[in-house]
Amino acid sequence: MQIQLLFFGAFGDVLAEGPRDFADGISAKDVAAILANENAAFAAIYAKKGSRIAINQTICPPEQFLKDKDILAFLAPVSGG
Amino acid sequence: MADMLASLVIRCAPDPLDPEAEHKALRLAAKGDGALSCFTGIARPDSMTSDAVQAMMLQHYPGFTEDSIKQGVAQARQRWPDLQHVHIVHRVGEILPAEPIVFVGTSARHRRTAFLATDFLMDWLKSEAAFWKKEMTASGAIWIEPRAQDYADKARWQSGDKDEYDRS
Repeated sequence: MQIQLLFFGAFGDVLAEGPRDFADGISAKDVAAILANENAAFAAIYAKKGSRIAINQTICPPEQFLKDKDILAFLAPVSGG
Repeated sequence: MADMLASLVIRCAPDPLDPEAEHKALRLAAKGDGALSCFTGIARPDSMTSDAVQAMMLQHYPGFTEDSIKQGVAQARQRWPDLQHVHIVHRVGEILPAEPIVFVGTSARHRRTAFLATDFLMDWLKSEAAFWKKEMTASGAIWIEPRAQDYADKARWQSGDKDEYDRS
């Protein structure tokens, strides 16, 4: 199935956004593990306090399973104001 | 909750931010209220690494970011049911030192709610709302993350010691 990957904050400096194919029934946590295995910088940012995951614009626990065409966003620690 | 306000403005845009115009818009909207509290955040010229900041880049996630601000506004409304008007304007894109970066304005019948709600909403924007800030200096770019102080500021509101902040 195809997942649209988005990267915000520091994540955007280490990986490119876009659609990517994954095995059916994969979880957000599994996708993060694949990306972390491919890219050490991603792994370091993902491990930080405050890094979060959103699926279709809703914050989700990493264990949540994905569906075809879902938008999976990796959100680095935020800093507004 | 947020939709129970008399008015709510949330705007994330690259346009220059005019705090005086935002204050006036809030004042005109809040006719009948006895208190307006407005905060303007300015881009500082000094960086986290002590280098001079050439510019900052503010990233947001359209739709998601506005929703994350609405969650903070809903919490503010729950804490202070007499909160009437909330206007939040946040720059995105490139911002130069000394430019206004954020405006938070609130109104209520009496001052305490307006003071507290503005303070609460700024803490929310600092550590919960979905913005990402990158500082550009001569020696490179660095993503800014909440400082321990930002987390501590937000934690004040979770202490349960409501009297500490609601004393009128």
